[in-house]
Amino acid sequence: MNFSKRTLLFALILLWFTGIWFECFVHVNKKMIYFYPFAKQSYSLVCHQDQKKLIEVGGCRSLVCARCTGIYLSALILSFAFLFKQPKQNPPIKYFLFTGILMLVDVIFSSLKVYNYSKTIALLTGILFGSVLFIYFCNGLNFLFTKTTNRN
Amino acid sequence: MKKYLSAFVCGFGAGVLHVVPVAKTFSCCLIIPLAAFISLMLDRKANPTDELIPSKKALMFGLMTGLYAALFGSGFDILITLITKNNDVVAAFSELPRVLQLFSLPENIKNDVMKLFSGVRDDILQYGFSPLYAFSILINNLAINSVFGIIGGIIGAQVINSKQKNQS
Repeated sequence: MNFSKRTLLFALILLWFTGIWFECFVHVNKKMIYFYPFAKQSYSLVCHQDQKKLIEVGGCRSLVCARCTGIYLSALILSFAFLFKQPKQNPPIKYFLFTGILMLVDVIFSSLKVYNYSKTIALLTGILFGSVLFIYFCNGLNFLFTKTTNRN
Repeated sequence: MKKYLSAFVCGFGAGVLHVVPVAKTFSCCLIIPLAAFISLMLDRKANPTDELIPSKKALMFGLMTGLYAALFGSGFDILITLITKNNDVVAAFSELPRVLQLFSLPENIKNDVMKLFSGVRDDILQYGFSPLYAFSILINNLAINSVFGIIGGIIGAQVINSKQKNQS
């Protein structure tokens, strides 16, 4: 993937991540309230939006839960880092399994009340799993664009 | 159609899970990407090969899974709303004044938003169908499920290919 495609990817992820904090825009510009229900509905497709699991920053709540915020945050950070240096290969499959199982265990344990739901743990497990997923995704995109470019 | 049979099956499954609240709590944003991943695995089972999955194929399977999930998800949502004359919008309507209060909005904007939502709510309560709700559900589902399906397909292909490389 060349620099312009990586920049586009970063911009799209930044746009998606910014949308999570739509409540802040309403506080800044009151007319944004007209779009708020649609933004909330869009993000409800990818998250349960349980009120107790949302992150609150400066009086604004996120439109997705802590775990999803973690996944998107890791994608945002890594997409920025990959502007300067691209990943050369996929991480070993055991990392994918380990971070996936870690997240699953947290979901199951907190749902079964083995321990209380913690936004910090949810955010961290989301970041870990999201990071591995994003590296796989970037390599997949890289592979796709390289093949397409070579064919042309 | 036959080529994307696994995408159809997984898209249907994801569409069903989209309207099951408990399932949504557990799987969160991973329903559609997981469906795309499973559709690639099912396709591999149906057509066994040692070759790596090309990214273009992964992209197409992800896209088709997302589109099927969007169509089935929207269809089920609209159908359930039509039968029960109730949905999330109706349930959340009582919360709306409290939410609007949080933003300390001017009275005219508050009234506009309340009017817009009460129109949708009244349509659903009376007829079980609101054109605005149906349109927004369909457009949202098509756009977001397609993107998440593509992401799931590309990641899924990478994971399956990594596993394949390890085995060989």
